[in-house]
Amino acid sequence: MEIKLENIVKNYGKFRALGPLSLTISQNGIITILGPNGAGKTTLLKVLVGLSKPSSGRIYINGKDFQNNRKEILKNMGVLVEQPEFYPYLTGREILEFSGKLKGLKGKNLEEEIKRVSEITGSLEFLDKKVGKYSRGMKQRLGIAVALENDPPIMILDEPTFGIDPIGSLEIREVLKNLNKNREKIIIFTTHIVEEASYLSDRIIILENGIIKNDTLNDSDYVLVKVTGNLINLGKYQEMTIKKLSDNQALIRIRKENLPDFNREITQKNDILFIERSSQVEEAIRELSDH
Amino acid sequence: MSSNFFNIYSHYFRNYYRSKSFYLILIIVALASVLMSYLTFKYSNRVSEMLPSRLISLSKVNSELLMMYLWAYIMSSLPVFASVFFSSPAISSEIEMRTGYFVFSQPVDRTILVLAKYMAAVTVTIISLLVYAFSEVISIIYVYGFIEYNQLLWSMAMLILFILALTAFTFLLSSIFNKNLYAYITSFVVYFVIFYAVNLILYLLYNYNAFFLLNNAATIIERVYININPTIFTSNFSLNPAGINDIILSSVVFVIYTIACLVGAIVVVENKEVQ
Repeated sequence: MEIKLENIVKNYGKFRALGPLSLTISQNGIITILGPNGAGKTTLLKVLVGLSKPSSGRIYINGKDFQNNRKEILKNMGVLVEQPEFYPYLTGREILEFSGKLKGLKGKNLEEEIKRVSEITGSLEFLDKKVGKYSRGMKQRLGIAVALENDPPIMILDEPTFGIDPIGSLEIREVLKNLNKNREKIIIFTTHIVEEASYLSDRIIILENGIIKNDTLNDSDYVLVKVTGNLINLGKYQEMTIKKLSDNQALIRIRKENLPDFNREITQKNDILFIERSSQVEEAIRELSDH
Repeated sequence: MSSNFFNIYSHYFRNYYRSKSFYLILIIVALASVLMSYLTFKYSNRVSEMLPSRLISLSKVNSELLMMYLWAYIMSSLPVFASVFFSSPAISSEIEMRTGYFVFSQPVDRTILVLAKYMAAVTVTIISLLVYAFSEVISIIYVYGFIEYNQLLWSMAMLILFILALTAFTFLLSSIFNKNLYAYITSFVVYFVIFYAVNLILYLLYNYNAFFLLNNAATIIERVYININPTIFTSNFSLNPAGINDIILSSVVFVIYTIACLVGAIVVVENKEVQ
């Protein structure tokens, strides 16, 4: 699958919420749109799934124009945009039945699919409760289950861990990580949490004021680090700063082999916040913390 | 395409039975049925007294038609409440309740979505009015011993066309607004204030019968019994049923409203942004 956005612009009156933005996603894996609130992350996803029309520009999925092939393209997309709300008088199972039928599932296939997606998302135990009684986390899991139905090759998830308690967030992260285990899908998700992006992503796109600030692979050689403290001390790493978050916060993409050196210079006041996925890096951090 | 239509239709049709508005309308319809049954039993012998003295010498058939006219007069108001309650939130609630993020991102043509929801609203409106129709038939047969099925069927056919037009009209308003309350209020104000005011102005100032207004066309539901238009101030009327030309004219008005409003609603929904 290939997703291609060409010169997308989205204006709300005189306010430009997005763009001009061009982007191509052709590799499977988790692609994270990272940015602070108001950066245009949700607007980008809304435009991408047809909930919002771009003011200009085109979107192509596998070479097909989205505007002219909306229904066909959505068959290949699992979508969770904004905090999901469902009809409160229905049970989670009824929601999954309805959305499954719209995706062409029926009979035993539908039943099995509901079981599969609710097991993956851990929503099986509350599936027969009315949605009106669901907590935010339960709704979020149900939303992911809906997006997963019919095993779409593209998944679009907008802040899937937003508003969920820490344990629930970790569980949802694991769900996403497991979905990406075999790199069989393109999973685009938005977050404003650097650690989440760094932990899950194969590719990180940083969005600021509706424009792509940085587009980088989160491969095994590099890590994304959020630095807090005196930025002057960044020294030679200054040039690797991919985003200045505030006067004393920045995001840095750094080669793992340089990590100990990096930490010696910057972490004298223990002011580095760091989450990484490889055990090698974690070991390095532990070592530094001990000193 | 047809299976998606049926899936959406059956989903929203069942949802209406879970909504409080369905039971509220059912109570209103049942109450109207009880009151009209009471009127039929108590007033059947004196029904001709409502007419000017020159027309009092009514036959039994006319007396029955007059009573059916009264039933139909109330009947033509009930769909306004039912349709507005069921249809006004049909699209706007998807935005207000934020369920639009779920439903509009499904692989379904929005046109199919609108049409299926529309048919579900029409069906549930008709079903809720069946209580009233059954009460009418039973009361009339019980009191008069027979019923004019021919006129009754014409009235019911016109009622269904009216429901189709009115539901399409409220769907259009619902698709424009993002809040249910605005859709409810606008539907009622347009129907009960704007339409009636325009009707009055055109008739009283310009002596013009605004046949194209939905409320005016809806009078055909009772005029198939006796051709008295309750929206026009006139002493010139007959006790004959409305003729086929009147029926065709009202039907055309209903059909035009249905098509124009549905097309309008589809265009708005196709271009609607979920915010």
